[in-house]
Amino acid sequence: MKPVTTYILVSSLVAILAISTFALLSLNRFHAAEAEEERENLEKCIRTFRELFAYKGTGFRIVDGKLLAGNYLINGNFELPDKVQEIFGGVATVFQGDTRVSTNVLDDRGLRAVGTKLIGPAYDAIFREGKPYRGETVILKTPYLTAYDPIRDVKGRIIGILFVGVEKSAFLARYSGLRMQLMLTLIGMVASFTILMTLLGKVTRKYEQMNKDQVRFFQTLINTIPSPVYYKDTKGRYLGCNNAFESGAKLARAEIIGKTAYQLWGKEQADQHRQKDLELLETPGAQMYESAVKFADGTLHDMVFNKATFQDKDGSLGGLVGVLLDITERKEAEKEKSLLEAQLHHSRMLELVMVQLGHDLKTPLTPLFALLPLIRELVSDPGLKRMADICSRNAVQIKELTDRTLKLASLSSIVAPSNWEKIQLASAVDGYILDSAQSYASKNVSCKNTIAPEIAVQGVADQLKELFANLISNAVRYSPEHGVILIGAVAAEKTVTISVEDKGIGLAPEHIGRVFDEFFKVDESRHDLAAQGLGLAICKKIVFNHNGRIWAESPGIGMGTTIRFILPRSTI
Amino acid sequence: METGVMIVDDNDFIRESVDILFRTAGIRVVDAKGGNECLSQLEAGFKGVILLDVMMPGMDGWDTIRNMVARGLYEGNAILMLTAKEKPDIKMNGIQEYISDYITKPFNPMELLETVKFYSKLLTT
Repeated sequence: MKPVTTYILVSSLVAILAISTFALLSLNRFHAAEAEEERENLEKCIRTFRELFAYKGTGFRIVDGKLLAGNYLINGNFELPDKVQEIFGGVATVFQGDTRVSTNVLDDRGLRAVGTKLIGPAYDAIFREGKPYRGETVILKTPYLTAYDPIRDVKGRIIGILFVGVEKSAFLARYSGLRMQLMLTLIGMVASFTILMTLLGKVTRKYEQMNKDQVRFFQTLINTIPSPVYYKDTKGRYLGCNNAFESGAKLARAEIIGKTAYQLWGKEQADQHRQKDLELLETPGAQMYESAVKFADGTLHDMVFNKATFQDKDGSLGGLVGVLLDITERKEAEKEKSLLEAQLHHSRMLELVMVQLGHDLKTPLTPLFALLPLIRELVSDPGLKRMADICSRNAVQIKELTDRTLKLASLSSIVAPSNWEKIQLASAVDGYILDSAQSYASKNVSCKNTIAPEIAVQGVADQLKELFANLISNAVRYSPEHGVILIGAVAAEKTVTISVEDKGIGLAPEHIGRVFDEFFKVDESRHDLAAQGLGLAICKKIVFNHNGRIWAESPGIGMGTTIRFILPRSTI
Repeated sequence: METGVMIVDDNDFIRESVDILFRTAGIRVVDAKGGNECLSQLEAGFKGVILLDVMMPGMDGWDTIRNMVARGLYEGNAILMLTAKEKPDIKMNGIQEYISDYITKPFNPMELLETVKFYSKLLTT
């Protein structure tokens, strides 16, 4: 039931109830007034009856079994009862003792009921108690008001009765019925009202329950918000909070509510919060700021305070609500990002330096290259020749180092995937193996390509050529005489994992992660002039440029090395 | 008319090395410290193979060629660029046709001699 309907119903019922009650009361008052008049009329009537007898003769007496008023014989004399009937209507009777001797009351046959006796409460009142009697009776279906007065002789003995009966007014006659109806209506009303109120009570309880459910739902909602939420009054006392706030503060809600920041967090933090709260309360609206917060577990968190004022029902400032956002991780991430950017910048600078150095080295190398062979030709002393050779070979090393440094720098240029081409891996690898033939043939190393012919990758051809050349030359370098190098590939949905495996010197576990670093050499003291420690760094850059990953695997020193890398698969 | 060899480089050691290398082979080398000296030598009547360094202060190798062409001094010469970079340079756009060959520093002395002799012969025939 809608509240409005309920309201209208209750109002109507109350109105009807009020009107009914008023009507009943009015009815009662009318009845009382009317009844009073009737009674007066009755008394007038019986008084008149007695006075009529007084005119006839003074004092009632019984002489020879007959009732006399003075000398006026009453028995069988209907003059005065009929006179009364003429004046007042109704009926009148004179009893001698308890026997009707003069009457205009008619019996069943329509004859005057002379000789019949009085019975009932009137008889008892007169003869037992000696009192007059007033009552009501129905004569021939007509309601009458009745009055019985005793007739006493000079000695005060009761010798008879005067009786008059006056017809009740129509209103009074119907009064009882009316009252009954009204009473019934009223009872009905009260009953309906009671039932309705009971129902209403149920409805109200239902609404209260719904209300409670809603409040509980909102609390649940606030509790579910993963960020700490709290609300305070204008005095800075906490009015409520959610679960995240509780767990952050390591306090139960009951310990928080009603307290101020000063009672909970210590002066230093509280001062800051209060200052900000006051600023917000002075200019109501929203407020946001960052602040470091010490949690109950002692950890320091960077928090964003998002606050806003709220209004009470009457529109006055009720307090403020705050939502805390923990941005510690974001801050960390930002720090990390700027660190990475710095590293990237550093790396770019390093590349620029490498390029510049590479070019700059070539100029002083030029005279060395031009003159050292000449010197060797011109000198005849073998010792000097040997010295010239050593100088020449070192000049060559410097040149190669320069070339590879420049290559590494140039390979850092990233080619957009849209410019990559499809490369059939197996046939390409065959080509790469042939290109390196000179290096492995001298060591009697064999190179075996086990890649399935249908596998294709997407990439920059020049870079992949460089990649394989480096890996093969590395594998050859570290392989024993007559060693075998295996090149294989496993295709996944979107990638191809390629492996270059040798049976060579292997890697110590602590070196596995570092072999791709620029200028890294397993043995720093080893004067292997052919290896500049750049090969795998170049490989890493190339694979990285192809959005791939490269890593080394080795069961240990002397047990061979497998380099694996992932390239994007071509499915076109 | 005799074809000569000119080395244009701002680096004294490189010029001297080239001079020694060619003198040993019996070839005289004209020395130019930069683009302007190169142009002066051409105006003075030099014809032959010009070993031209790219990166020089003031007028670089490319601009030297542009000036040469503009002043009508190119005819009868072969230009061999001495470069430290393998990568093509955007500044050489439009003048590639005047360049006979590229020699990467540091060069192999025997190869340089052979190349220069080759272009000298081309110029005389």
